[in-house]
Amino acid sequence: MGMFSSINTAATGLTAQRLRLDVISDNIANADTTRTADGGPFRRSRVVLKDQIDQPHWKSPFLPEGLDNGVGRGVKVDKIEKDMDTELRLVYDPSHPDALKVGPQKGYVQYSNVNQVTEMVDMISATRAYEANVSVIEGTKAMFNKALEIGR
Amino acid sequence: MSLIDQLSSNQVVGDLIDMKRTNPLHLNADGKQAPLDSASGMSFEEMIMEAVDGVNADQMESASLMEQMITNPDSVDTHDLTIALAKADMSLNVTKAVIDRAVKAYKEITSLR
Repeated sequence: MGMFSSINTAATGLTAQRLRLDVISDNIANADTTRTADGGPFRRSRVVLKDQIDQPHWKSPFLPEGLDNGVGRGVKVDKIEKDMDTELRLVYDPSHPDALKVGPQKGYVQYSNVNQVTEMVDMISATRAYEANVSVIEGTKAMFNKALEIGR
Repeated sequence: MSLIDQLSSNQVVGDLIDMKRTNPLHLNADGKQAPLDSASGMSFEEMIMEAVDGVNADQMESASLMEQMITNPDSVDTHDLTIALAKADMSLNVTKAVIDRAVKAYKEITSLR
């Protein structure tokens, strides 16, 4: 563990939360999108986060200490996936060019499955998590400066 | 860090790996007792110079990030810049503290009477 390890760990959290906010802003911007390159309306994206350490955790008095992962090294983004589970929003608007032409839902337009309220709550959560990581860095700096004052 | 990363090249001969010696009474590869390898075979001067190199690297990194922030703001995250600045500041502070203490010790000795 180096001098800056806790700062580096908090920095991974900051980067991850920034990316979450980027994804949320894309979702909100595309809330009313009815056309995508994949066909069909826009599907909301969600970020899946993962521990930085890939290997499983070994800890036993019989195993060499080198196999001990020790303290974690932060978070990384595993993937950004499309949410195919949430239902699409149906709005009756026969004059819309993307309205369904056949079937029982004739005349309805399929809008994206972005829920503005959910996105707003996610945004607050990402902002608060970012602030928490910043507080960790400030705390580390305060401890470091206090340590330099020892014996002065 | 896995076990393999912790091995240095002089610990490995062919597919044999020396056992780790944690006590001077342990026998080494030649079957002899020997003092443990000290953590750093460096002199104080070498150690200070290496530390100053590290501090300089932090300063250069923060300077280049700042330059990048001005010329191409989209390519760098704000927090990466501020963290680099904080790291540069902290490592410079610790260097300053060490040098201040060394100078203080020198002054204490010169004022002996």
